[in-house]
Amino acid sequence: MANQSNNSIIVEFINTYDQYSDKIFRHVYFRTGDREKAFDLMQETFTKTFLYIKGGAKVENIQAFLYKVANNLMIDEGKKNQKYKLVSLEQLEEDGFMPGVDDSDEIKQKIDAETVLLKLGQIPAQYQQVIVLRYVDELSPKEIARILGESENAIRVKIHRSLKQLRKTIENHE
Amino acid sequence: MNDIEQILQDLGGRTQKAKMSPAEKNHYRNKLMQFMEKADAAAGLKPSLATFSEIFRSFFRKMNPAFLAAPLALAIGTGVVFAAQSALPGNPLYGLKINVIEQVQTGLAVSNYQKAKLDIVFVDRRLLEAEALAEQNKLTGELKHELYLHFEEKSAELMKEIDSLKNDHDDAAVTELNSSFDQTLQLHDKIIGVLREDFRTRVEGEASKNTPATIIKEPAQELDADNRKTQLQEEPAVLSPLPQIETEEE
Repeated sequence: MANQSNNSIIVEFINTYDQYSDKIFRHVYFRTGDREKAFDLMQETFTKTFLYIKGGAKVENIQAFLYKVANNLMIDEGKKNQKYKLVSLEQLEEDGFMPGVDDSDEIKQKIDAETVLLKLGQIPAQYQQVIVLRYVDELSPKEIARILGESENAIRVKIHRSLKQLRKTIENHE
Repeated sequence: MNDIEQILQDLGGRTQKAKMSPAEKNHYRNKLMQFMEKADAAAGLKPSLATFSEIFRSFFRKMNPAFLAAPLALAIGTGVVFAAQSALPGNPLYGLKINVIEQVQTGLAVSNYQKAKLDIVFVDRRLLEAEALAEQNKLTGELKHELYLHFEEKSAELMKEIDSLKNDHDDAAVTELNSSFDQTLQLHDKIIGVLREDFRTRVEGEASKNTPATIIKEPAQELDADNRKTQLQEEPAVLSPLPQIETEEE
């Protein structure tokens, strides 16, 4: 029986990796701006989660749990080493994740995106986190609520406040 | 500046490409598998036949559902098969892993594209095995040599498959596979250097052992080969006996 349970954990976990590894990689890469670090932390997120589940713990929502573990690992790493900064547009282009732009509309969009990214990196971490989860990871307020362990309403308010904070920072810059 | 929310949404959409390449995803999947197998071994648990079957099935489901055929069942004869999956070179089960299990997997691939993808998986595995052994200080000269030969063999098979896809003008597949292979090599850059260095030293060692007679013989053989080539080119002219035969018949 115990063996059967162990088997299903392995099988399910490989499926979990296939389903969520790109999302976790992307989230960590965006928050750290470091592709190599993103690979390491993504891998560690999965190994830690596997050990946790194998130890007999129940995980109700695996996606939320993985994001939680990844965020905690980034916090730990940030304490040990340097503080991470958000990825820049330049970095995204260098890593081949964003095509170059040609026409004037796209250049304007690029400049706007660059400014927003730069200023996003300057607002408090809690605001930064919800904005990345909402707009970069494209998660719903309900999904973010599960990750951060707060109510959906609280998250909606947080997103609103974060946008306000970001807008204010950009206006001061302009 | 446009509305910030709109810019963020646009940014999110434009950065959807920020994900792992198939080679990277496969590499970290292999690493995770290795980790889980190790964790199970440490806990004294033996994954059953069903586990292996399911993971195997899950892997192939992504490539082609038609893969779930009878040969799969043949490959999964006993629990030993699963244990062999995590075996490293030097382990008695390693032969089973590369000569039986991986051969069955290759046999299940129905196209050159699928075979090539599998070869990249196997190349990645060989190099991960070398890295695992190096980490445990168990990467002896013999094992380096063994792994290097397996690595070269799989790489050569892959090149053949890519060549046949080139002949079929499947440019998209060729580009994808080349890029995937390059990335796999980059991920293991360090260990490949170690294995190659060992191989080079071996070859040089073998060369220095050669007697002067052997060394003299080699150019002679080459000369023979050249002569043979010339002869073959000249053969049609020398051998054109047809008119004579016709004359005899008359």
